[in-house]
Amino acid sequence: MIATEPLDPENQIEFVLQNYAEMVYRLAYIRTKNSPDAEDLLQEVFLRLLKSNIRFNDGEHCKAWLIRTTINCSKNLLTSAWFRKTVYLEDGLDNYANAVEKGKSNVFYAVLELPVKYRVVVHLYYYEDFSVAEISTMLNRKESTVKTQLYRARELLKKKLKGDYDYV
Amino acid sequence: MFRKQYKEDFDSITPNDEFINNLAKKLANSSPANRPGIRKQLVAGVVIAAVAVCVLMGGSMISQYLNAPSFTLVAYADDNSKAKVSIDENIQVKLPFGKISRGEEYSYLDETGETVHGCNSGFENGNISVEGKNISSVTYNCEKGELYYHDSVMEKQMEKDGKIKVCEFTAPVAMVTYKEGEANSFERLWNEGYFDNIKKEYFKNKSTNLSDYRVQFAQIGEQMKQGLWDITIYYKFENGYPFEQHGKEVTATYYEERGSRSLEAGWSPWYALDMVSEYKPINFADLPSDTITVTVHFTNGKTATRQLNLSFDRYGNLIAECRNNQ
Repeated sequence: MIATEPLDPENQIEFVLQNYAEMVYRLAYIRTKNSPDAEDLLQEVFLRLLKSNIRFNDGEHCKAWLIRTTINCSKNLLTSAWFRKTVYLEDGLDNYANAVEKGKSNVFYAVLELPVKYRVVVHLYYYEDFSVAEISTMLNRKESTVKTQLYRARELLKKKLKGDYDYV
Repeated sequence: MFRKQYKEDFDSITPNDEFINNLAKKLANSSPANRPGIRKQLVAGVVIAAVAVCVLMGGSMISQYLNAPSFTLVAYADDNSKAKVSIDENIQVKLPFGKISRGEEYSYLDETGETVHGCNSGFENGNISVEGKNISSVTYNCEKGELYYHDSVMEKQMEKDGKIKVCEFTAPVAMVTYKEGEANSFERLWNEGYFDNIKKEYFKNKSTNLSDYRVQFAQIGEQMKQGLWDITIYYKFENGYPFEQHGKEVTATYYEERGSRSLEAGWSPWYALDMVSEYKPINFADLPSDTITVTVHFTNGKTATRQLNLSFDRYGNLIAECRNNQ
């Protein structure tokens, strides 16, 4: 659900939580590749929203802010000493996947294996349906950079998926 | 094809319902005053509330929590410091009042001639209160201590309406004598008609029987020098003033002009003071705790309840912990 009118300041945080928590969580998951860290990020983003006193003009403004904040928060997490030193007990992507993630297609695992800068662009483009121009604004990257990252991500995915998905 | 499969795979990547419920609940309960502490609350809330949520509730409850009336418990020191502390859920906080202490030992001879030993004890008074929107009243109920509430707005209104004091006047000490006892002397003179002018002025359509009133005698400053009594006649309230409540349960009324301060209630741990006064070693941390149930009534008819556990640490500081009853 996207609000096209200014959000009611009194109920803004409730509205945002109800409508965009899943979007933030998925983006956080794409960045961190595990549920506990994604939940931490989700919480951190909403705490920042609570503290920020920002008033969104509309749903698009809100989504853009949430995406930027999620990525900023995840940068802090990904570069933290704790995160870098954490070693999972088992190798392979299965260690990221809890019960919810069982039974996913190869696409799911192939995307998670991409470098983080490609994962985010792929997710925003293929899942959230943002245009290259919108992604470049949100991520503060040049459109040409986003296009290049999408291109390289597609090439990597094609190799990983071995031609299973021709329309990547 | 890739997009469709990717969306299908990620549609089920959603945050845990319990996590969202707790997050929603905490955000809804948060006020600007206690924002810095929210992260701790969230972490504690997720862990502690998860089991209860799993067992008692099913499905998404986001809207229930977000629409639920909310409030924050606060505590004020009863001094000039204006110290205030927010009592967040499931976190122990030291209150700005309530320090219990033991003073000097004393002894006296009782009626049987036996020496009784004891210790002076002290307690720093203060108040608990509630902050939140659309609150109409708050009922406090405690198990061991005593609560008190003073409705200063009601008192002022009653004073303004002349419902507390009937009249105040002076009379010579030579007339209302110490020797006879000022109360007895005044009553005799009253009944003999010496104060008919007062009756005529202030007691029109009222009982003139003094037993229906409370009479106060005072000599202050100039009146003492002049040998005058300051006599004040008050209406008698058999059950105490309606603007004062004492006991195990009190109900505070919200007044816009006083904000959350109008919802303040005091608490005295007489049970603990009695134990501190006993002539034997004591560890304040061993004193029994008390539980205050705080029920907030909102203007829309809804209510919300929390339990406030009050205990002392080894230094005698009053420690509070709030638990949500919703």
